[in-house]
Amino acid sequence: MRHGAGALPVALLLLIALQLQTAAAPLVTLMGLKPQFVAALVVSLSVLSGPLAGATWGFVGGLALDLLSGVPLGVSSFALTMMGTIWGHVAAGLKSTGWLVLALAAFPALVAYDTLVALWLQGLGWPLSLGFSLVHVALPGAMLSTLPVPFNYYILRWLEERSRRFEVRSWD
Amino acid sequence: MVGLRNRSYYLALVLLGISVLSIALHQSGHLRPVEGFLLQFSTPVAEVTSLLTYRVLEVGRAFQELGSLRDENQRLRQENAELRAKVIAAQEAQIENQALREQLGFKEANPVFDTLPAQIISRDPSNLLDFLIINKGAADGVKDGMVAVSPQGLLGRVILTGSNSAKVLLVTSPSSSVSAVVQSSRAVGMVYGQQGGRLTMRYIPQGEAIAVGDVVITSGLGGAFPKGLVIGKVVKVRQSDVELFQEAEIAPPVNVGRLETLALIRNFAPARLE
Repeated sequence: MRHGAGALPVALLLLIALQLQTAAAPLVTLMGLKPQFVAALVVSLSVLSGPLAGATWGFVGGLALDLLSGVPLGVSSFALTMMGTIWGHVAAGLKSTGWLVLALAAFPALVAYDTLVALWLQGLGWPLSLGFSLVHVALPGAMLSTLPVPFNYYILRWLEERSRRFEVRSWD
Repeated sequence: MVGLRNRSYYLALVLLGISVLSIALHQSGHLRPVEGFLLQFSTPVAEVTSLLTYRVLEVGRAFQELGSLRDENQRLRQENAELRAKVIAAQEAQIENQALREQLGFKEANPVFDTLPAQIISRDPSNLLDFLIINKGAADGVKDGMVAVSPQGLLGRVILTGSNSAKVLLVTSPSSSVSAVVQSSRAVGMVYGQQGGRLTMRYIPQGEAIAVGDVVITSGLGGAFPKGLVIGKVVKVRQSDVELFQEAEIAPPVNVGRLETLALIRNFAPARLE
């Protein structure tokens, strides 16, 4: 397990991602789709810090998304917790963390997230077409949401290195 | 390593369990007061960030528009002069119309809507549904079912009211449906929201005239929305001889993503069928 970027900086990044997604993302849509900044951050976190961090921040971020969106409370938190845990385990086997590898690893995670949310909503009786959601929302939406993943990852890694250096210095 | 793997699985199981419990409580309606309270709690943060976003965007737009401002000004002056002439003609027509209505004994149900302006402070973060959060709630007289409009037409209705904020379900949401009528031909149908902010008008009987560019308005049937609000314009008609009904794609009159304010209709009470 990696050291992690520290709870406070991650919470701040999550808050920024959440605000970007609710206030700014609807203004920069592509074919009516918004980038999923929170999901992108959770993917980056699970790749960097492993499944424990992925599950925890996935749950926190998901709950916040549920509160600010119209989906029933628990749907996004379920999908992001699941995604954070699974991708945390998958990423443990990654040999490289170059931007292309990160993007390729993030894409299926982001498709899975939107598909899980759509599945839950359909199961709860919302009139959503799963095929339409996958082809017109999950796949193009994941392409858009993959863009911030490498950027998030490098910020988190920088924060992790800083917090580790700070700890070493405080031991001296 | 095995310990960590187990720990992460246990934690994930607990968190997934809490999520499923929340969904069950939401479905049973037990979570409604809590959701209202949490909505109120998130309002101040959302208000500040939306204000900041709008300011940043305004500065960007101002820079963008600086070059074309002079041409725009000249065009607007000319348009203003033309509009003044049209307003005078319209005023005359209104007086004549009023007189005719009085002669006929015609009385409109809702001559003017009494509206409550509200600022949009947050938007649905998902790509699957379409919601807005506004900065007016029960303390300002907002109630569930109130209709939200923009100067261009219908936006949606309030589905959850906190004390200082409310959630508005947009007509473009897949869970939204509105009884509608084509303004020119009076062909009736139902307008449904689609993922990605699109609208589809279904159940238009075969043989009814409908064409690209036709304006679609609320029919007032069902009692959830007042009659005569603009829903959008027809952009595509799908007709098949083997189908019972025609379908039309409707373009909403406003890009909700760029909308900063809306108005709630105060003097229309949606019908409740119990």
